[in-house]
Amino acid sequence: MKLTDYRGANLFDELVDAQGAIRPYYRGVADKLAGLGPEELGHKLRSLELLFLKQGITFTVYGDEQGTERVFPFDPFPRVIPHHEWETIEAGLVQRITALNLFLYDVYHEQRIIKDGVVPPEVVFGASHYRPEFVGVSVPKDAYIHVCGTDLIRDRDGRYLVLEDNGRCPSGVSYVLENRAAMKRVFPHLFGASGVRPVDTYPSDLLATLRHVAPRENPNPNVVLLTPGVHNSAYFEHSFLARQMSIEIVEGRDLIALDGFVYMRTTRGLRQVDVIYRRIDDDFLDPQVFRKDSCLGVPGLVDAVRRGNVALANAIGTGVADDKVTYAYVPDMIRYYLCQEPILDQVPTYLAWRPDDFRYILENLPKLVVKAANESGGYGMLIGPTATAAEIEEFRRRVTATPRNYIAQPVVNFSQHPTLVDGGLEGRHVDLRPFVLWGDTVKVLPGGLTRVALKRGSLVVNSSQGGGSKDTWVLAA
Amino acid sequence: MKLRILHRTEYRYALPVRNNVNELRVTPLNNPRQKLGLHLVRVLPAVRMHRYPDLYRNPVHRFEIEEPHKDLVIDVSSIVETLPTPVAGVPTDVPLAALKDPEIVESFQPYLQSDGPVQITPEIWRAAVDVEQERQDVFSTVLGLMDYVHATSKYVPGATHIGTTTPEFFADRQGVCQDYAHLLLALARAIALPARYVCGYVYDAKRGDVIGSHASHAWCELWVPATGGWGSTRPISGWFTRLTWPRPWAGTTATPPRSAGPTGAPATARCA
Repeated sequence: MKLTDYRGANLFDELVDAQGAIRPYYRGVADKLAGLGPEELGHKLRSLELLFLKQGITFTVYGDEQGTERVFPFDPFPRVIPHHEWETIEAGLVQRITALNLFLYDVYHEQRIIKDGVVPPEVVFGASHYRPEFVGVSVPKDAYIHVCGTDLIRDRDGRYLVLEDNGRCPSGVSYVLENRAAMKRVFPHLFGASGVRPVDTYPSDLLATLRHVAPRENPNPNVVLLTPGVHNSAYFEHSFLARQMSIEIVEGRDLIALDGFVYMRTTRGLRQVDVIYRRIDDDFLDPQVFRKDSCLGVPGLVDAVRRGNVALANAIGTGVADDKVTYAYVPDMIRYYLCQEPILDQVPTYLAWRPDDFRYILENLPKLVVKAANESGGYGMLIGPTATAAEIEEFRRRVTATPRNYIAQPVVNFSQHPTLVDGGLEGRHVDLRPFVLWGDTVKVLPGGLTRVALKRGSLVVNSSQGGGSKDTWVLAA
Repeated sequence: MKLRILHRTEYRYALPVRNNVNELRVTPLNNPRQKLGLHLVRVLPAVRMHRYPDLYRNPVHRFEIEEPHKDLVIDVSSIVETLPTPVAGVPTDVPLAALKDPEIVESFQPYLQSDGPVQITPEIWRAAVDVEQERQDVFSTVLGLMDYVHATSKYVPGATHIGTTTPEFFADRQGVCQDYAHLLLALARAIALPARYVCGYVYDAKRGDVIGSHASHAWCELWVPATGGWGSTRPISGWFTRLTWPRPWAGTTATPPRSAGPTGAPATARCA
């Protein structure tokens, strides 16, 4: 592999600085990669691909006609984050999840932040994932978001910005663990003395987080993972995590709710369930309360949650916190609940339901990124500068019809990272999704999932839209 | 030395309490001796946190819980880097007379008086004067007072409580770091040496841990004129993370329980 041909661009490059020099914390890994001959590299790339295929590390693309399961593309050039940068990111993420959990507690209890005029009522009550049914319901340890995946990007100056919080069922952590395992197998020589912080305690940390909210005084609570089933795009991850934590993976039909308790059907009869790590959206949890046509959920589950006999992670109703309109108010939440200034910055956001912002958005559609407030996975999104006139008109119509449901942000030309393309290195945009666990203590998995937009110039990193991933190295010192 | 500190205080009330108001002095100082990184106070039940500086510029966290609750957990996470401070040698040549400067006497009044449990009785003054005797310089006098406290007191956990005053300790001479620090304050102040109470964490390199009764420690700082600052009395060798400079009585515990509820006394308190 040749590093000498690699050039940065007119944006922040993770590997090289503005003068084209390799950043000091990349030197070790870059030198070792550069030492690989084309033949050896080709051999290693084929081993990697085979490894991922054999392990079944796949995902599903909805709305794709040709075969739904795909191998998640992987790029072997690891992303490196130096210790001091990570310390700031970690502090910022801990601060953010603390504020979000306090916000959720508040909007489902006294709603002081609304009464004090910090967050307008329409932001909370107008959020499609707000669950008024849960006002006044207590959840164990006042914890709503137990697992948070917060997406970060870096702007032109290398500043980390929060792009969004995923406080419902963030996925991707299995790729973090599998990417690391694959890298260790295929590129062991890259690691020597590099001081990369390990990621393999995540499953046991996750299990501890889940056990922490068990409602009964039980030294050995029964924790299960509830999946929508094998057709879900993240089924690989569900089975992977359940296996890693040595807990049962269940579908809705494996559970039954009786008299306000939830039980698991086993070959030895019913067994009470204490904590459900659910990877199903609120809407499908319980047909008696939410969507009547859901076959994925468990009738009576919500009743058991309300009575405090079973805990859900994440709790019901966390979607109001990762609504993209709510996002605009997170810095105010941090000031309100914690009396601190936000450590991590975020992307300026225009809210279509504010009259001034609405006019600005409609006048500047070709320059902006427009997002639906409650969509994820890169669906329902307009990237103004690359959109066709017809797409822009379509969004003009949608924003005008339901302004509450849309936000707009300036296009952030976020950082790029060298990526192997046809045997050479080319810069591709990357983001970062670290995972935060809110249990007895708050833990941040060192690193997280670095996603790469594999198409040249593309700013969309979602796996459903042609994105790949990289191993992410946080250095110990 | 960079320390990552989790200071957990748990209260288990015998009966549910309500309108529980707490003020915490738990924020490590940010100054040329130490740099504060991450600092977050997390409380269960969920509370909104207020912050303000007190009279001594200690950052204070304040929160209230109106709803009845039986458990209260306060987690304080901090990352503190202690910075090397240049020591220009022992200031042996500062005369005691320098402390008679009216400007010093005036600006250090709060650090020269009886305050809360620190009470300067005639007996304590007598003991201080006996140590001072013919000594002429501040530093050797301070050393003399420290030696006196160490030589005449015995470290006995449980012999005293949070509210024990210096005369009580002076009579018994059995207690913990807080009592030692209070007595040293009273002795120093009795002979007009400005002295203040410090609480914080001490890192023990041998154990690889932060030590002290309940992991936090108390000691004193004395003002030595002409050296331009407060000098620590070193209770034990180690890395010091200075938390606050509270007035003695306010700093006896970092998280004073102030509950308006019935039988609101904490049954157990644990620090991790």
